[in-house]
Amino acid sequence: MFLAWKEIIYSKTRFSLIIGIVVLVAYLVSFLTGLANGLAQENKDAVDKWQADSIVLAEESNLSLNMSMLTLDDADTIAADQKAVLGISSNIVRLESSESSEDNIDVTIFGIKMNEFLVPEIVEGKAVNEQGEVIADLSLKEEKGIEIGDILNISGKESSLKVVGFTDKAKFSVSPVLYTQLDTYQDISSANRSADSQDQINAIILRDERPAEEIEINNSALTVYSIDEFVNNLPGYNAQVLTFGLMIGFLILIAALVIGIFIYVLTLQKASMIGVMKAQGISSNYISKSIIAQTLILALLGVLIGFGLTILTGLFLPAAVPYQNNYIFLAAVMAGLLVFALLGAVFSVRTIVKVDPLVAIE
Amino acid sequence: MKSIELKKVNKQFKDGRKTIEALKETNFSAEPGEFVAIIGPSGSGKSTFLTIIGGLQQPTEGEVFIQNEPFSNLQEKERAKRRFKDIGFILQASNLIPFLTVKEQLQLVNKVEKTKSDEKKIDQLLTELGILELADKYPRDLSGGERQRAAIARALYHEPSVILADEPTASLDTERAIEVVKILAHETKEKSKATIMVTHDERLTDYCDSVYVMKDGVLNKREKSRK
Repeated sequence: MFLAWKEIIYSKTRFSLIIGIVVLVAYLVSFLTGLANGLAQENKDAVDKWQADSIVLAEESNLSLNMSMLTLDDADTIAADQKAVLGISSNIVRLESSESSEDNIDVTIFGIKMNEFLVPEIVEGKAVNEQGEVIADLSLKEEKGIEIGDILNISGKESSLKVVGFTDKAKFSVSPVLYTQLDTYQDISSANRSADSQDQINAIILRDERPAEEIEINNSALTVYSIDEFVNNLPGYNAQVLTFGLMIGFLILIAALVIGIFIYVLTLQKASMIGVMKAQGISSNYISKSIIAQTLILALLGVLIGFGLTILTGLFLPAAVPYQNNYIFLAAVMAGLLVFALLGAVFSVRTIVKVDPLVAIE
Repeated sequence: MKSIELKKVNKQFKDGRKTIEALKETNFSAEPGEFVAIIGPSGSGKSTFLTIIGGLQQPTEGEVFIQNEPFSNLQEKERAKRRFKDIGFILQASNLIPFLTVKEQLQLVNKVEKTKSDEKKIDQLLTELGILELADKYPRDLSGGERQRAAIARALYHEPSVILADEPTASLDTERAIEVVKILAHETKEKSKATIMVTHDERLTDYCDSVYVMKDGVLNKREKSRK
């Protein structure tokens, strides 16, 4: 510790530069992690909000919510603790006051029964009481400036919707969700469908702790899937998570190598000094420990500053950027960087052991 | 008691198919309080001789005893321990750790041993060597002579029985060189060390008790009559 710290104090510039590199690397990795995480969340926020265990879809749907066609009566064929029906429709809406198509907003409409568990928690405004009222995702307010009482016209339809409340974290496949009564939903979606499908829905969501395959359904046209399986099959979700996962994985690997190589080169540079210390009888053990301590100081400082920067950036990012810190994952990334830096130091220990004290004389 | 004793020590290097005998069979000893100078042309084997005594390399044959105990044939780890305890190295200008102040160079010994540093002893040593006011300076702020005095202080601090000095005056002008050697001679006597100094500077031998000449790996004592 003594040598490690004294050297850092003495060569301030050099070590600040190294810490700077660790900071940038940690910042880059953790920021990208936040972005990837934010994007992944925007795919499934609304699903997480259900706090459900499984989902019933039509057997033919291939796990796609849009392709799944059920009727309200199907709910009776399922034996589960809690059931909630869901109708879903993708639409384009625009504020009544606007004429420009640039103000079009892609939304997902969730038709739900207002006495079932899919009803979102309201953070602002009031609950839906009448036909045509919706609770909207808070991002519509933050990004599009929509307020309570605003009227949204649905593109290509006669009907319009009135925003009465907001809920947070309600995005499905990256588009904000509007929650409406089932009746309102039927009105909006019925034009796409045959007239006799007035009670059509897309899925039945279940809260039941049993695994999906143990839930009994008295209807061979329906299949139960776990929510995890459902999320993994959301359009594009898996591909996105894999792509980002690989990117971040490689980034960590490269960053770790860079830090490791830095420490290694730094140690190589000190070979003659290490020789002098060894000639004095200072053990390789002591010198190695001080190199490892030094690496720990550098990496810890760098990683912590990078971590702090990430959190700060998260606070100042505009709401439109899908960014979200997953602290557990971030902590794992940081720990990973630390471990790799230490591995670099341990690798340098071999060099220290190999330094011949004779170099002190030459 | 003998501080240093070499019994039938020789050192051979393999250079391709040839074997070079850097140090031919040598017997040598030095007692506490003895200041020995080794002179000779470069490449004559002086440094090999010194590094074998210091345990930085092992002899091909024979054995080195430090304080009457076998030393040269110990494992490197054990030798490092003995070196730390019994041998003080004073090397050419480069042997101070650049990022430690003069005082910290001495304190490092305690850090390694995990003991408390003896501030009084440090002050006393630095005063003796006339560098007390430089205690908090880094090596880069010292002149060549001051650096060597700091190196001597560091070598003396942990009270070794043997001091090995490899060209300690190489980077100094004559006046400074004589000053440094006088200090070395003084400390050798006062603290009863056995000091071996390798040098190529004939004038410095005046302050030594005995002078050996190394030539082609053969060490010969020179009678002190020449002056």
